[in-house]
Amino acid sequence: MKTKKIIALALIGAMSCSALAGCSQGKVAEKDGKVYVYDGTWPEESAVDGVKDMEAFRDDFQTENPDIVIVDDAGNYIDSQTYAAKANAKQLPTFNFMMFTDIKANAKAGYLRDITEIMKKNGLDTALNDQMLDLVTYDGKIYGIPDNAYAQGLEINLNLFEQAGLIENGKPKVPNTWQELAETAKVIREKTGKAGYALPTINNQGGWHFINIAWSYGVEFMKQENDGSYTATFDSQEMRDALQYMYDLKWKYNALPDDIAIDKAGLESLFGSDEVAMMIADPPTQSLTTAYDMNIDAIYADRVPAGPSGRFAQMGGGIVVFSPEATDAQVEAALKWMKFRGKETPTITEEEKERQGKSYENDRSKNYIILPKQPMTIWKTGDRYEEDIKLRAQYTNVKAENYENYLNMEDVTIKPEEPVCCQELYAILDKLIQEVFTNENANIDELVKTANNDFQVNHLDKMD
Amino acid sequence: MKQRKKYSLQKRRLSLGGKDISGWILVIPTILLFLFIVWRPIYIGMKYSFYSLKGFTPVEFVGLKNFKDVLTDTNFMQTLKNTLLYVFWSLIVGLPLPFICAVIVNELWVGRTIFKTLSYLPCVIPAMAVYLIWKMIYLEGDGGLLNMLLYYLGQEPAKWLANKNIVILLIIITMSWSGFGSTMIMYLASLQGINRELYEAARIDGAGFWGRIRYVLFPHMRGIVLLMAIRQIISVFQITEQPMTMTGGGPNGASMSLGLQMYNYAFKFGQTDRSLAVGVIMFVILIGLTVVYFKLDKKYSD
Repeated sequence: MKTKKIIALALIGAMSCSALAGCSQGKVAEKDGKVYVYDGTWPEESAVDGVKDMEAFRDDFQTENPDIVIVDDAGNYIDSQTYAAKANAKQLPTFNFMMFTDIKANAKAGYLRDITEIMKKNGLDTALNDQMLDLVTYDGKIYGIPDNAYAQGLEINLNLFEQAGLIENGKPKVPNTWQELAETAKVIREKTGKAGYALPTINNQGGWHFINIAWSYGVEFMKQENDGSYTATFDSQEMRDALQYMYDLKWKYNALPDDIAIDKAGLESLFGSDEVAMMIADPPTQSLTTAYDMNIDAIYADRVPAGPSGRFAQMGGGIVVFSPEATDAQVEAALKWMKFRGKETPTITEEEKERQGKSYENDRSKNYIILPKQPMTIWKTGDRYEEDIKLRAQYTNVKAENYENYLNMEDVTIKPEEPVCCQELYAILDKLIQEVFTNENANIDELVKTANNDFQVNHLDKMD
Repeated sequence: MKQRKKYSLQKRRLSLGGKDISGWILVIPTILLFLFIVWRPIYIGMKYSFYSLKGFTPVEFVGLKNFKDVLTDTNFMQTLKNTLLYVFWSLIVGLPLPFICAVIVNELWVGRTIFKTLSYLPCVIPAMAVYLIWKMIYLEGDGGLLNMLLYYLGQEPAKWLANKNIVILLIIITMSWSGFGSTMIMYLASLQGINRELYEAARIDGAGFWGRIRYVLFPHMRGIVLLMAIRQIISVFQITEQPMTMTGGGPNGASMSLGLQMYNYAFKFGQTDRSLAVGVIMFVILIGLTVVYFKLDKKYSD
């Protein structure tokens, strides 16, 4: 009996401890006069070379800065759910990567640290491109430093273009307008039986892609009133035309794949397996060569096609953000650590060049696509962009002409996301696209009216 | 007298007095776990649904605003209707089939074990794989398995998950296929608990096959069938990952459920407060059903 009681007590002890273990109080910021920096951008264990390089960097850095301790804290930004959970448990690393599209919601939720003062103190705010600065600014405060940026473009599967006889003098006949894209897609369907064009339609990704088309048809989604509130403004002829275009893609031109309920990964798999000839993407799409073994030379990228109002491409990319729990000393130390590695600064160091070169070499050996230059610049000062082009020249593995038009972005208006309720808008656009793709009798006039009203009543009117 | 003593033993509750201390020690870990993993989150979720939240941190008390926001959403009624449709179809498809199969298997003399094993196999496939496999079966165009079948029958390919009128039914068929084995095994266990002598007695009294089913099998099985129905209603009412994986709630919201809407509020739109309000609305509806469940459970276990 006594033994039973002892076992029971031990069990209670163990279970209570495990229950309370979840209530930990964040990470140590300073100890014994040393500042601790938790690096969420640290490479995963599987990237052996990357980890080795980082460890070497860390040793050198810590010798130079004995008052700073760099702690590897890899794998924190998996998705927005994980990020939110970690933020609430106060378990975020000091700094971390995040996608452009997630920054507003996270800043609003209080998951990001305001770094305005520190950016100003280090002169980084004035070195950033104006467009980039706008991207990381929410409610007048700066919440991150852009690491890489791109604008969406049109990717073309040259295998299918070849089969459809759409290659002339070694060059693909690239559609210049959305209308031409529909007609090209029709030819591809007739000649190859495959889908000429596709876009994702679920998980808000349909909206994210369709918005390029809508902008090029002149759609304005919202406007800010004098009192600061927003009004939905897409109950317009332009929106009806853009949606009619989507309808025609399916029912007039038979341009789309059979399964329309696809996400971005599904779209890439169709494109990579020669089932779809054209898609809007953010070139280079690495999964095409790494996961689907596409020949690098079979991929061609161009500017997004133009609509009646011009040529519009949405911007995307990655940003370094800081934990709301990070102290001033931690943020300063983190910036010092990034600068030491030549990251998130307008200039590039010799060591960083060497490391970056190794990284390109490694990527190349794994069949990653290395473009001759980055699609967009981040900094308006410094030599980072130019030096990177020189470096890439040694490692690029694409035919320059296959990406020339995309990278030059001639007459492309690069736009950031809409100012508020972007994800909510994408969700509504997803539904619109699904409806016109699945219902041959879709009433476009009614759909646009309802969507505009839904966006106003369900989201804009209820903004906090 | 002996019978009465046994009855009083069954009904005895733990007292707070010293002699039950061992009992208390044994239940405390369970109570602690429930406290931290179930009751506390429920309490916090309910409390926070009356607050405006920044992330998961309450900012100010807003009363019923979150509920008003959710209930006045132009898509709420459609989503609630969809959720009830899921429940309806699950009762039509998911409830009788395993029962009928269990009755048949119970009568089998040969191959019972093989049939039991084969029916249980879908239960060991990870849920996500099940949904993706079925998505391939329902795939639009010539590539889908069902459409291939139609092709061999000389028919035009049909729309499956892209058809608003049947998308919920198709998702329920997937779920029922996946859960079929385990439900059938439970029915089978209950069926095997029927005393064979009752069948013999019924036969001697002149009952035929249907008579035996009506007078012996149904009275015995009524309890478990009702309980399974209630449990199924409760679990299907919370359906989330199936529409998320197979249709994303589409086409045009036709397969959107309250669970998926709750997920979208929290993780797509960053509106945790509204997500919690949907959660509380679901909780209240489900608590009602759980009360029914306990009432039925009590009725049939007494």
